[in-house]
Amino acid sequence: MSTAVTAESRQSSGSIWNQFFFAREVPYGMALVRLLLPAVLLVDIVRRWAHARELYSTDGALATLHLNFGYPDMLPELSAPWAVGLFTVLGVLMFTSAIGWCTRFSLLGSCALYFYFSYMDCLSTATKYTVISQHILLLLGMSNCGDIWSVDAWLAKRRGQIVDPRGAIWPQRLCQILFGMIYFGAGITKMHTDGFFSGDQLVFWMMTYVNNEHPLGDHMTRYPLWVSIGCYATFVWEIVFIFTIFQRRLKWPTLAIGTVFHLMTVFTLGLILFPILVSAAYLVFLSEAEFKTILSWSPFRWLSGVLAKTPADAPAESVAEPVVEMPRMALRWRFGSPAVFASVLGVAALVGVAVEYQLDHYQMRGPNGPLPLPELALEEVQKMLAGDEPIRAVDKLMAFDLGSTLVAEHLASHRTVYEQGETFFAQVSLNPPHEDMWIDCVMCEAVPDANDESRLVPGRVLYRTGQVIMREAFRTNFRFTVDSGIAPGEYFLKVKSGNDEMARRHFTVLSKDSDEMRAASAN
Amino acid sequence: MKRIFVVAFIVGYIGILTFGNVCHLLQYGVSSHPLMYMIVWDMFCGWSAYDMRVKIIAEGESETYYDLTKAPWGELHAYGYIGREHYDHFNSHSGAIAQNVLKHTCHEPIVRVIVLDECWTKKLNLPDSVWNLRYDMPKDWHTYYHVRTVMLPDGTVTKRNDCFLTHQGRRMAYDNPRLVQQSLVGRPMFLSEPGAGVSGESAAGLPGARLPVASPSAN
Repeated sequence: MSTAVTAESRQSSGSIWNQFFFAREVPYGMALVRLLLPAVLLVDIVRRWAHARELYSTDGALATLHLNFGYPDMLPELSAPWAVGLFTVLGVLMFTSAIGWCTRFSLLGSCALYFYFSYMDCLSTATKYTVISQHILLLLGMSNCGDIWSVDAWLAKRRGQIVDPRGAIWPQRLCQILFGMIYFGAGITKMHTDGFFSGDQLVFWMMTYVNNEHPLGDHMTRYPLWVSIGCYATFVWEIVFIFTIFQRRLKWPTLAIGTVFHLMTVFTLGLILFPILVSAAYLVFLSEAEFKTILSWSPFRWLSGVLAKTPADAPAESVAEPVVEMPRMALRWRFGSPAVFASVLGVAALVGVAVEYQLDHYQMRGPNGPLPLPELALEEVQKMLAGDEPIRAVDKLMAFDLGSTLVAEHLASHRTVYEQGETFFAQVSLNPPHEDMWIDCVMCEAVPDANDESRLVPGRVLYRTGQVIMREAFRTNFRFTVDSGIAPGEYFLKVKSGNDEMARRHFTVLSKDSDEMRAASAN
Repeated sequence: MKRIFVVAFIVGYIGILTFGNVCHLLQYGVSSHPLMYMIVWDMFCGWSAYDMRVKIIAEGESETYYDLTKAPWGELHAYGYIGREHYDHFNSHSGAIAQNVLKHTCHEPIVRVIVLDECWTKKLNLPDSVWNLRYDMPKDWHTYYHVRTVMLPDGTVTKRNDCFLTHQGRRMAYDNPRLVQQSLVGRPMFLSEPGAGVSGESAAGLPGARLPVASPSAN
């Protein structure tokens, strides 16, 4: 009995394994990724092509990734013609991958060359999206994604060959597992990052301008509580991704959240290529059945007629139609295609090298070449070389906010109008690094400026308090109660470190039953 | 036979991805080999409170200074609107960049090349519309400069310092008479430190001083 159960369970687990990795499907999802991913990467490659001599050759400034790891000789360094020629070949291979010409070779070749060039330039080529792309190019190269919607399929059809595009889905599964692993790893990174869950690290990223413009990110820096909530949500989603993505009910909600998450990085962090690339690569989650379901929806129904003629339906047709004798032209194509392909690569490389040479990247050979170095003004240099100075107190302060509700360590709302009897918090957020600091919080009357009466400035000091902020702390709060001793009017709170004023906030106190207060609250 | 290879590939591939994540989780061996970069997913590696740019200048024999940061033939803005030298947080490649610019330009003999960190607090990056909503004081822009490396024109390093933030963190920690006193106790009269001629500061980090741990490839 027990032997029978064991055998049955073994057979069952074996069939689950077979079904998961070796079910046979038409690789619609993988083919879509094959069409999109190289096309997106081609944008990056075209932008860098004119700089290939400088970025990837010994006639430039190589910045190898392996040097940072202590392996300076891991990969060979190429002279300029070789680097430019191979980089041109990389661009051509990306293009032929997208159109599906000698697909497997194109994908594996572009993966190998992209890996090489990424490692040769860690400053402006190697990023995590290039790594993700290399993984996916490798797995696409192992799949039969070139059997549909490709030049290869068209050539096969011309030759009269019947190709069954159905194949084992293990490369697609590995792509899906790759995404699960990436998000799990990204979750681990967040776990390790100090200040991530408080939102502080992300707020600093939103203030960083090393990527493109990110107007939403600028505004989000005012709401660290919402950023913090977003950080927790992102972390949970990343960790559970690999567990939910293979559940039929949870798969599409998980991907929808992922798409929104990546889309938000465009507006909050100024990333562009990464979200486009990852969203395109999400198509690896599309199964054959789901693709056909989508085609049955009315907006896409017109496409199903076109796609019905894909080789997916070829085996059924092949039974009905007699095999046509191969014409002489097709015979020539069969042998000619790889040869033509190799010729195209060779010619492209040579043309690339010649054109790049003519462009004269460094402008050494022109009438004005080599170009002169731009001079710097002496005052500017003196400022740069004046020696290190300590960080100013005002630069140690990140923000000074007032509000009445504290959630976790953040102010839930920012308010500057308070009623007598109310309690509010003055929150001081600091920029690391800072030493252990004594911070004074000083409440002053607001008085008209002597030079400009319409402008209010701090006047007589009414109250002073202070506390220590330890070097590892990001923020501290001062709690104030507006008691009856504080008359309705305008006031200032100032934050000081020693004699240096770091920041000030203007606020208004209203009497307890003031109409003005009601109006302010209503707004 | 083919099936065996396929199963071996599947198991191997998943095993390698798992190995990368386990190393990352345990923070063990993540920098042991360049290929670890392919399997460790540290996309959010920490960002400091200060924006940092790299400035490379060369001093000529006539005491004229030249800007090597913006190459005269134009620069690639790979991820936004700044040149590639600004992504060199470890200062590993600024020497190569400087030498390349010198090699391909016309100039007088150069006597030294200086690499500087140019830093400012990130809150100053906020557009004025957002700034005015959060701060009651006008922007008081201040840029800090910190010499990172001094080189001969052939790339020989004559002085190397830590980055601006580590330097400032150390300065703040040492602003403590008790700590300074303790550090002096037991120090030998004749101090011999390997590499002291090259390195201006000790390599030890400090709490609160944030160093990026990877290229800004969170992109």
